[in-house]
Amino acid sequence: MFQKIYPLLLVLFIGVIYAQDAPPTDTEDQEDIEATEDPNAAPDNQGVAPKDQNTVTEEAMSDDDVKEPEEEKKSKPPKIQKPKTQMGALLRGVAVPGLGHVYNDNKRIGYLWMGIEAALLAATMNYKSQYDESLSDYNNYQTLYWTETDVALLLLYKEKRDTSRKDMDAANTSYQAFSALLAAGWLYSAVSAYLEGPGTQKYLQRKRQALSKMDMNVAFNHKQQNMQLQLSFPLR
Amino acid sequence: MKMIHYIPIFLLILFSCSEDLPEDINNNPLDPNQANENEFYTPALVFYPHEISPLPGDDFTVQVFAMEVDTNAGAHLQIQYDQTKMHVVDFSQGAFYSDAPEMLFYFEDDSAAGVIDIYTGYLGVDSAYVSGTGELASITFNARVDWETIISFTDNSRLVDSQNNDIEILGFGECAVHAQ
Repeated sequence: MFQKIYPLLLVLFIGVIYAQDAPPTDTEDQEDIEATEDPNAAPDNQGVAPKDQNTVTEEAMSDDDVKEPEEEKKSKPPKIQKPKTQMGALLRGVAVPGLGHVYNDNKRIGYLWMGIEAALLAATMNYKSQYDESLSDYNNYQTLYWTETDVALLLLYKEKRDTSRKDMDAANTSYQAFSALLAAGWLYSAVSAYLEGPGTQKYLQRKRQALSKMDMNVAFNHKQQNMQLQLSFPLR
Repeated sequence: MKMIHYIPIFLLILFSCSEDLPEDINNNPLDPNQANENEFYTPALVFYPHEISPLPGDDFTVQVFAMEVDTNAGAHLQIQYDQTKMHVVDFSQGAFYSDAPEMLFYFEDDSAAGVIDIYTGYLGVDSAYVSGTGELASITFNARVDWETIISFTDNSRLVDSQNNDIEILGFGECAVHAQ
């Protein structure tokens, strides 16, 4: 049943591999940076009063020795934040439809694409399953038709075989149509993620819009008995 | 930009998600509808199967059928085969006249000439007859070596009604044997 899907999964796998090589997202970088941001930050035992320097024991000395490699680790330079790229959006879009849009911070569209493609994939698999079932029936009736010597029965099997064939034709047509829609949607989402990816005019425009989103409210103030306009906008 | 090169392949794979539909093979020689389409007229004498591929040295059985006959009470089947390529191993009577209280089934194999004569039908009851399609006999052959040949009826084959009148046979089937 899934013979034809194996190449698709292979392509998906390749896509994922490439996507892993692609530059990471801002959120991933942020986490990395947060983890490595302050190499001189106070350790967990910051609140504990330091021991008297004059009463340093061998035990304390050995503690210092242990802490040394930890400090070395912390003093490693932070990872350089790679900027988001159009190619990163494309690769993610190829790997999983809609993921490119999510990468472009266009989550609503990204999840919409994921939903559409999941529905199309489900419909495609459903028609494929129907096709396989009809093909199995067709082959069974064809064999019965070949081997039957009773005329009434062989005609019955022939009729059933022809019915299975019609079902198979219908399922195959739908399968073809939905798989084409799936492919076209997948391609469209990947390409549109690329075209609206980081660095493009659309991406910058969307970012600008998001940053300059102004919240404006007009209301009647009963205490002061006048109309009031309230404005709020991010200061980033 | 490497991944862009994969997109056409990716699309091709996806767009190839359609299955090849099998072709209808209406090769049952007893199918009356197919016989009409192939301009094979009935009443007829046919072999089932009409094609067989035994292994050299193996036995294979061919059934002989009367197809779409009316008021049939007896038959003389004369069958020709290539005696250099196969030989007869066994005969058995068919079920077409099985309702008869007494039934005739006589066979003779001239292995030198490669001719089989089978006489079958109702005995004793003059008014008994059958109509439709049914098995008259089955013959088991043994394939000698690699070859292709045909088993066929001769013009001496007859179908008769209960009054011993000839029923015109409009079609004679053949059995193609491909021993390999």
